[in-house]
Amino acid sequence: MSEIKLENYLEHYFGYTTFRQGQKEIITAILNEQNVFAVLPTGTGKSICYQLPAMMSSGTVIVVSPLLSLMTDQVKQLKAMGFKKVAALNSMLTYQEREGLIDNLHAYQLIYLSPEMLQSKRILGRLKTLKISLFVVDEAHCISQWGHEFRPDYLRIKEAHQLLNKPTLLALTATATPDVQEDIIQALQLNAVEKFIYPMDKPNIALVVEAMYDQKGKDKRVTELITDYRVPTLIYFSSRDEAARVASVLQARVKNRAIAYYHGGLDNQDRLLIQQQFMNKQLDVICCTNAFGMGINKKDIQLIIHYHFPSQIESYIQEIGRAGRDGQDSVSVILYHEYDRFIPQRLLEAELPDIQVIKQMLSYIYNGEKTLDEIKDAFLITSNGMEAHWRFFAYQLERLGMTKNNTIDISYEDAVSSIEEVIERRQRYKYTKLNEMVDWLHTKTCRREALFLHFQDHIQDPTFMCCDRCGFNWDEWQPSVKISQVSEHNWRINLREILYQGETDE
Amino acid sequence: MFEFILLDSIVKLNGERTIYNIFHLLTAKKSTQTVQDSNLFDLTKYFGVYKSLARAEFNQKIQQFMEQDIIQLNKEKQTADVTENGKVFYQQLKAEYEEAIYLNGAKYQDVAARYSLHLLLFIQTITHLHVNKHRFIPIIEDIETQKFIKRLWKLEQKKGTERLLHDLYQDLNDLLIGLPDTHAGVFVDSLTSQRKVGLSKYQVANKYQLTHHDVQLMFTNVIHAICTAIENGKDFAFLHQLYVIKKEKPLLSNSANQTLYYMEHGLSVEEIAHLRHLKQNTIMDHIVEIAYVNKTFNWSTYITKEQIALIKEALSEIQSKKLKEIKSKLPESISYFHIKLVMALGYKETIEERDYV
Repeated sequence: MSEIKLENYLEHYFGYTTFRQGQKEIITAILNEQNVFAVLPTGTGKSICYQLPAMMSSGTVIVVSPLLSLMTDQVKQLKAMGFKKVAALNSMLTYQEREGLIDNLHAYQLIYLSPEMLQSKRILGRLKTLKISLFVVDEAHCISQWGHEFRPDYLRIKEAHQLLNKPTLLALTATATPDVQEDIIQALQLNAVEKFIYPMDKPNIALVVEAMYDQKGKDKRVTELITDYRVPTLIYFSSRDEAARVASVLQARVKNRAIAYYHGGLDNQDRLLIQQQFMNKQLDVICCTNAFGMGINKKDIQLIIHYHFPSQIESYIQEIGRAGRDGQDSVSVILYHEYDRFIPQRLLEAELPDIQVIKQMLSYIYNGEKTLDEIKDAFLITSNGMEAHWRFFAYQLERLGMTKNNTIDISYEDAVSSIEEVIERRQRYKYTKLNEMVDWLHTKTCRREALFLHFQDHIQDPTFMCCDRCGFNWDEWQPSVKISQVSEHNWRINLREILYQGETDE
Repeated sequence: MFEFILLDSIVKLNGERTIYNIFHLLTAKKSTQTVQDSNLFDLTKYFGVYKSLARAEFNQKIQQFMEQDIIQLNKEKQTADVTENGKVFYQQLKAEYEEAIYLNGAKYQDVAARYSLHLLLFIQTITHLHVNKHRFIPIIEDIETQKFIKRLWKLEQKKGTERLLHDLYQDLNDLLIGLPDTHAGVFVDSLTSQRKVGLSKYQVANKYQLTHHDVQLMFTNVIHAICTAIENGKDFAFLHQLYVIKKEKPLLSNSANQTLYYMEHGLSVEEIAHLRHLKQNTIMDHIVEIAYVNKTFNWSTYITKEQIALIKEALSEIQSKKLKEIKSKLPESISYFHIKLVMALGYKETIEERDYV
């Protein structure tokens, strides 16, 4: 594949004339059938690394991704661009939709799959009949026990890859420390792999932490920021209710800015509308939880406010990475209150099942009282329908060899203590991550260095201001004003406008 | 509007059915009981007009009515009565909404849902095509709707976008002028075009100081108004093209439909029950349900003329829909089934409209 040709494809399919950092190198390696492991920061066009090969090649490209909304967003975007041979196979489909897709797999060039789908023998069987030219593991850090979002389902990817006769593999992630990187390569059992690691620090984003003393103070500060800096802005919260509350506070206090909230509790249609309004510049401030942002490809966000800080540095890096995608001077500001750490702490404690529930379920198994299917029902009832807790438990049973045949080689006590140990280790790990984040908030030295030195040895020189420890000054940030056109008319004029009638006709 | 519909239903049920019947009515659970009740209590217009209503939100509103001394709940029977205070409130709401309501759930609940998908996607599509934008993310993800709009565009394309937009504007403007400004505003703000992405339910609610329930219901009300206009033969230039004419299906549950099949072959209750492996009581319920929508059937297999006359007389004497009271006035040989059947066949003539408040 000659270089000129690759750029022609890019322009033909995506309308870009040049590649962004890393894309070309990665695509070239893939097309040469080399396995690739890549760390590419958010907002640098990771997905083009497999979308372009999918459009160019004759075989099928499959992408394993845990992010259902990201999958569906990408499918929609690709279809809107005119590339129709793309599909997503996941639990959000109805039975008929899924059956229809499975029967027609050969008609697609790019197939997104959630990791659960790889567990289905039937789907794997169907995939085996296709010519798979590339096997992509997106968000590859999920496979590492030490990654910040470990998912047991991801451990099955290796088997699936081998079952499909080891097609060329591309593992992608936006954040991975060197030990996590090693872990991913190990877990996928890739012997020959080319690594592309790109720096995660964005030199155009200044990092600011401001200490706050109460909620009122936070509300006041957010109001000031939204009033003073009229640029597209994201405000992150760790609770849905708070996102909605602050959105209404801001709507009341700040004139002429279009503000909305977004979280996982809104229905599909409303989520879609809010996203599209933000893309279409009808909205310029979104109060959101971390459910927002995946798959959002908006280039003009310039301010990221954390009303609550995230529970780990990796999430923080991803979230601020949504600003300044065109290299504009951007600011990340965390409003920090000492007690804020209790919110992620509570979430963290609720993340894994209670040991009492586990003991009870194990005793059903050891006493032969219930079959595995019955255990699932009993577990979900006892744990208030926490699917994630069940997935964890199911994986533990598998790990202890209790799902394969009817013989159990481990005593009840050993099984309990083994699972207990996993939970404790996992929680210790999460606490460490949380402490890392809090420590960073208290850093006395350069924030940029402290943030990125876990991930890379060299830090790029900031193109704008560095951080509040290195003399950040709000007065020196003068972004050009970009505000939405909010037109308030009665319905008659609105109807005329949207249907191109009368004097407003173009 | 949500409050009016709830209170109107409570008033019409008159404490004779549980409040959950209202929830089932609004969300269109097509159980035999719901269908019968909506006929009996003159509530068919609300059938299935708010399918996305969550039970928790419904309960919350009922709770709120109680706290505001608008209704009184009979905990045991789960029925509700409107308080004196509530009656005043009901009259206020009635004055505000009754005229504006075009809802006709029994007739349109299915077609209207389809219609709104068609309309929303068509507006997005035509406004994009008008400025030569052929790539956009469809606001409606439903594949059937996307196919429908594609087919329609192929047929209508020759008219050109300018003419189509003009027709669409005239039609909508004509219709919306006849509705309250808030309903029209809610509707227009929810539309997505090339120029403007539609507002979400919560945004519209915020703008007009309404609840999200009202937003949902007002939008549906406009759609039902369009469907009604189309059915009444209004000479729209374009709107009727988005309407899918469905064979009029009477409001029957699936199971009752099967029973109807056997009834048409003249089978008795016992025979149908035996053939369908169902209890006789179930079959009788179906027959009553059918009686509400099918008055011209030959009922002689199931009830005699004399029985009908006796029951009608009793019904006109007693101003209640409580079966027990009615039955006590009638000879033993007349069963609950007979009473229900007669009520279904001719409740409008036999029971006078009540003065509720």
